[in-house]
Amino acid sequence: MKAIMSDVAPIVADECARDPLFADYPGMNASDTGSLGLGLGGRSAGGARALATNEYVGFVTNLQIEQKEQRQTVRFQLLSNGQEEEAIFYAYLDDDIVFGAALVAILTACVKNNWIVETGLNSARSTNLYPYVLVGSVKVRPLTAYSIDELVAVVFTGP
Amino acid sequence: MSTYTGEVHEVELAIDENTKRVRFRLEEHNAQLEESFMIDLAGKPVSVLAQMHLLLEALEQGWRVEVRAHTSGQYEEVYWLKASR
Repeated sequence: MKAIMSDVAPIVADECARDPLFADYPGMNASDTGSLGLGLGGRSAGGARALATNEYVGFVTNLQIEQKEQRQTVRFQLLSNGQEEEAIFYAYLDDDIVFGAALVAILTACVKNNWIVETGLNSARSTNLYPYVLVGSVKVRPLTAYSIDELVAVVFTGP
Repeated sequence: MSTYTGEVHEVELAIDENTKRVRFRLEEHNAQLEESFMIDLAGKPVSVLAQMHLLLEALEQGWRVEVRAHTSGQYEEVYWLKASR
């Protein structure tokens, strides 16, 4: 995990410096990169436990769409079994309107039905920025699709 | 062209920059079908969003889905979708 994140650290720092999403977090800069990377298995992904190196599972909450710095953005949190800390995910909607609509439709259905979501990072951008995680994929299944044993395993298995 | 029938078991939105697509899996009597179905997000927006809506509704309601698809690489690319109670 650490090795993987150190490989992308320069990219993280670069994107972090440019991304207007982080205007709310003035402490974010290149010097934070080390802790950002390590944060993948720590506080940045605290609530939504990692399924694998870059996948998370949990319930969608706090779904919000907003225009920030002239970009339409969707953000949501994944909760896993009432953990105090929560992973926050985001995606840009205005890059591709069909993709944006599809993503929002899926997330809305997840909130409505309490479906389990598995999400991964966007490998194309190779980034995992505290406190947000750029969404790379979203997979949904009804809770009933999991056995109890499986659900307990994915919710409580940490990195 | 092939036709498949089953219940939608999971839906996945893959956001890779080059291959934005919706994947889903059908299950028939607890026997997982081998094929992975795909809706290309680069298709007609109205059709893509309508199929998305239908898939999610079928997933929520447990409706049976009938799919006609072409083989496209490792996926069966959907061109016809029908859902029924």
